[in-house]
Amino acid sequence: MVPLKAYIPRRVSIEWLRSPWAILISGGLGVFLGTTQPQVAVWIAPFGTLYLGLLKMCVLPILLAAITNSLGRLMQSHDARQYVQRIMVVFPLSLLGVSAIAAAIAALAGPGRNLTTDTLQTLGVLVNQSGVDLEMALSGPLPEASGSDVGTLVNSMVPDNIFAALSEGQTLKVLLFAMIFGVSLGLVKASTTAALFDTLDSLYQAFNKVIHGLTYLLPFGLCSLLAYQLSQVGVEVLLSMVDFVVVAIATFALIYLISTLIIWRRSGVGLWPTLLALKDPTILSLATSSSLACLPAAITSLSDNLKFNPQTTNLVTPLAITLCRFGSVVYFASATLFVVQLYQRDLGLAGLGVVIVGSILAGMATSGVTGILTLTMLGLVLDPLKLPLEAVLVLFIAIDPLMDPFRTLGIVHTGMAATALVASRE
Amino acid sequence: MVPTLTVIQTAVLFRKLVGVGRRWWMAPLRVGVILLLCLGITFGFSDVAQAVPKASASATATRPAAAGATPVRAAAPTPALLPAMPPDMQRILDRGKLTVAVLGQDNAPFFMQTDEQLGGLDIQLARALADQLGVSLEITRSAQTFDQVVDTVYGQKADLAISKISRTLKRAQRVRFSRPYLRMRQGLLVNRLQMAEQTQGRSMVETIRDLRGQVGVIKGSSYVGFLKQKFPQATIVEYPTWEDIVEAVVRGDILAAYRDELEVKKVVRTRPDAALQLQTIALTDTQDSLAVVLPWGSAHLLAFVDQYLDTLTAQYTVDTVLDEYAAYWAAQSPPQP
Repeated sequence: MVPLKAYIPRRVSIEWLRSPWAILISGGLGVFLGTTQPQVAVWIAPFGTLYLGLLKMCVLPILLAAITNSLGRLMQSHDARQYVQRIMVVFPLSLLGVSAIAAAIAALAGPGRNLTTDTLQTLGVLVNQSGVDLEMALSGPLPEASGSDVGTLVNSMVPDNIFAALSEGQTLKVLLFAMIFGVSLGLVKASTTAALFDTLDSLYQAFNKVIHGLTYLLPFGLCSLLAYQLSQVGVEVLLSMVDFVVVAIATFALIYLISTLIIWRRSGVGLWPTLLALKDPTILSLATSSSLACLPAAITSLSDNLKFNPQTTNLVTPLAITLCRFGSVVYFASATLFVVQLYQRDLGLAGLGVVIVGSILAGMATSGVTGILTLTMLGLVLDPLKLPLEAVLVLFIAIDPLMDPFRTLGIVHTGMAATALVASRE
Repeated sequence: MVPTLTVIQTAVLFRKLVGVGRRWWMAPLRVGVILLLCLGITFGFSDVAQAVPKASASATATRPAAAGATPVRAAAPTPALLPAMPPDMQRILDRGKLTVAVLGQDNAPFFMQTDEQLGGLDIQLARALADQLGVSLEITRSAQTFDQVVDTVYGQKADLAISKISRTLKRAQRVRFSRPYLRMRQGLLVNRLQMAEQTQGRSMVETIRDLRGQVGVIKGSSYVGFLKQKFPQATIVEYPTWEDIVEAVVRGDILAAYRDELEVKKVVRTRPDAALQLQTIALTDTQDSLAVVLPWGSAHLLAFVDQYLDTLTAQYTVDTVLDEYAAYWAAQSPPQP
C-alpha cells in the first residue's frame, strides 16, 4: 500500500516568496502599475485591502496579550522601576530630537518660500475646487464645533467600556486598559495568575504564527497596495508642492538613517543582519500606511531577529509606536514651517520653539485618530502661531497618499529605535 | 291592542282637526282653507324662481347687439380701431424695439463685451424678453452708476433696466421691481491671516458674528448701511472701487470686504493665486436679490416680465452663474495683475 503522502509533491517550497527579490520585484511592479496603469491599480486594490484587513485583525489580540503579559511579568520581577525610568528619559528626549531635526531642516531648506505665481495659481485652483467657502448664519444657535485639541486626546484615552473600545478598535483605550490590567495582574500574589499568563502567552504566539504566515502574501499585498496608493496622488499638485515633498522625504530619510544606526549599535550584530531584520517592518509600513498593522512585525524583528529582551520589546514597542508617533511629529514640524514660509511669516527663535513643542503635542494627539483627522491635528501647531489651517489643509490632504507611507515608516522605525534604546540585549 | 289603539287615536285627532262632530259641514271648508294656504306658498316661491330666468332673459336680449359689434371691430383693418392695448405695451410695439438700460462699465458675468458683442446673464435676459415681445433690442449704456441706471428708467428714457440692480426699498419708492431673477446672499471676503489673529480659540462662526476690525465697503453703496446694521463692532473703511478693497484685503491692510456673495466668490475664481490668503463667506440669513427695474407706470410690462421669469425653467443660483461663465474668466485671468 502506497502511503497517501507519496502523491503529494514533496517539495512545494514557497520560501522564495519571503526573499528580498520577490519583494523588490513586486514593489517595482506596484510602482509601475500605480504610475502608468491606474485602472489596473484600482482593479487589484481589493487584494491589498484584504491583506491589510488580515494584518489588522491580529493587532488588537497581540497588543492586549503582549502588553498585559510583559507588564505583568515585569511587575512580578521587581525591575519595573528601571524600565519606567528609561522610558521617561528616552521617549521625551527622542521626541524633542526628531522634532528639532525636522524643524531645522525645513527652516534651512525653506519649502514654500518665494513660490512663483504659477505655482500659487495651481494651489489656489485646488483650494477653490475643494469648496472651502463657508456658509453661516448671523443669528441662531452656534453650530457644533468639531474639536481638535488636547481635550480630545484625553477623551480618547480612558475607556468607560473596554469591550466597546475593543469592538471599535480604539487603540489608545485598549492600550491604557492593557497597561492597567497588566500592572494589577502583576500585583496579584496568587499562584493562579500563572495560568492567565500562560493563556496570554499562547494567544500571543498563535497570532504571531498568523503574522508569520501572512508574510508569504506580502509580495502580492505590497504590489496591490503600492499601485493603488500611487494611482491616488494628483500629479499636478505634487509638482506644485514638490519642494515641500522633497524636504519632507529627505527629513524622513535622515531620521530613518539615524534610527537604523541606533538600532545597529544597540543590537550588537553586524550591519547587514540588522538591515535584513529591519526589512519586514520597513516594507510593511511603506506598503500599508498603517503603523498598527506593522506592530507585530516590529516586535518580531526586534525580539526574534535582533535578540532584544522579548519582555521589554513586547511592552515598549507598542508604547513607542502608538504614543510617540515620531513620524507624525516630524511631518507636522515640516508642514508647519512650510505654512509659515508660505504665508511669509517671520518666525523668531521663540516661534521655532513653539513649532518644535507644538509638533510633538500634535503628533502625539494623532494616536487616537485616523484618516483625515490626523492632518487636522496640524491646527494644534498653527493655532498658537496664529496661522490659518483650512486652505493649507486641502493641499496636505491632496498629497497625503504619497506622504502617509513615509509618515508611517517614521512612526514604526523610529519607534523601534526608541525601543532599542530602552531594551537591553538578551 | 296597540294597532287598534293607534287607529282610534288617529281618528280622534282627525276629528279634532277637521272638527267632525257637531258642525260636520264645516269640515270641507277647513280643508279648503288649508289647501289654499299651501297653494299660496307654492306659488309665492315659484314666482321668485321664475324671476331669475326672466332677468337673464332680458340680459341676453341686449347681448346679440354687442356680439354683433365685436366681429365688426376686429375685422376693421385700421389699427386705430384695435382694442386699447395697455399704453406701456403699446409704446414698445409701436416703436418696434425694447430699450434696456445697462450700466456703462462692464460687470462680468452680467454684462460684458465678448468677441465684439455684448454678452452676459443680463443681456441674455434682455434679448429673451425682446424676442418674446417680437421686437428688436436696443441697449443704452449712458449710466455710470447703478443709481443712474435707476434714474434712466424713472425718467422713462428706457423701457426697463436689467443691470445687476439690487432690490432696495429706497429704489422701490420711485420705480417698480420685478420678482428676483437671481437670489443672492451677502458675502464676506476675509483675509485668512488677519482672521487667524482674531479667532483666539473661538470658532470661525463665533468670530464673524462678533466681527471686530476694519471692513471695506464701496463708498456710498448700500453695504455701508448693512455693515452698521449687521456688524456694529466693525470699523467701516470706505473705498472708491471694489478692486481697491480686494487689493487691500489681499495685502492684509484690512480684515475683510463686504459685498454680495457673487462678487466675493468671483474674486477667488479670477485670482486663484490669492486663494490661499482669502476665505469667502456667504451669510445665509441675509439677501441681496437682483431684479428687473421698470418705470412706476409700466404695470402691464411688469406683469409680462414677471410671467416670463416664472416660466424660466432653470433658476439661476450664484454657483450656476459662476460655473456657466467659468470659461470666460479662464480666458480673462492672464491679463489680470
